[in-house]
Amino acid sequence: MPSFECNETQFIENISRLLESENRFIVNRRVQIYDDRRYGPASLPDEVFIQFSSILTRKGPRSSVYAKTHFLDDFHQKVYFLQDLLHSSSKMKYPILHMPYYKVEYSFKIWGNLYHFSFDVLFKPKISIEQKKIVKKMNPKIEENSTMLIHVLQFEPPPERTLAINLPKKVLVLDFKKANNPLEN
Amino acid sequence: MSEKKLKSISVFVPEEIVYDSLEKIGFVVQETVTTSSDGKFWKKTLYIKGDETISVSEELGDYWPKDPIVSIYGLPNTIQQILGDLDAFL
Repeated sequence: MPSFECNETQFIENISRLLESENRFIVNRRVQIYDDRRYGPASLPDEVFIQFSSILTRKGPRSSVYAKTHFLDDFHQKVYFLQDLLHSSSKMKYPILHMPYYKVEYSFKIWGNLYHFSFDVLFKPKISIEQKKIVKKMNPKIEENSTMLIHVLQFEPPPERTLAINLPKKVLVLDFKKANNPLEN
Repeated sequence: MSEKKLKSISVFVPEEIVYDSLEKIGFVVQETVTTSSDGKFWKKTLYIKGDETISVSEELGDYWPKDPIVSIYGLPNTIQQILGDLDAFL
């Protein structure tokens, strides 16, 4: 079966045109959380990297990223120390520090063809200074468990409404986890 | 009462002009998130006015020209006003 990949404008305009023609149809949506090292701090544009500026440093986009201070990555329960290399410019696909995200995939089938549009919504970093219990398993360099005041990096999930695209109420959106047809996976 | 319509456009207009147009007719920012699609990073801003919703996706990074994607689910009059503002800029 042919399948067609769309950008946001194409996907929504296609639906708009089909609605105008009074065809009624179902849109499938899959939302899954990923934490697969796809997004590391070196690959982020400056406008996003600045949100990490109190704990991370780099010379520019796609440059190596280092820790500016000791901090706890609360999401992954890992501690990093000052000047630790967290994303090497020579290993862009393998960041040590990475961001979780939701992958949102929309698709609809009409006249035997599949149209799909997908986007990732990154978790928002939140940095604070807190009293935290630091244990050995958080970093091999830690010799003993202790409680300390430390910078804490948390990742906040995006609000659910940001995981949706604008669609009229008369479009039936069906969420799914997995499709049997490999073309839809 | 008019039925709401869908419209998605990509415009060569700075994002500030788009935001000004939306705020002028009463839309309010609800959320801003970072998204990634088509191998690019985007700032996606969600605007709401009653049950009308608009998302503005602006590509992040150092590039030119800027062409934010504006996706509107709103009344025909709302769509006309926004398109008119953006056309006036061009």
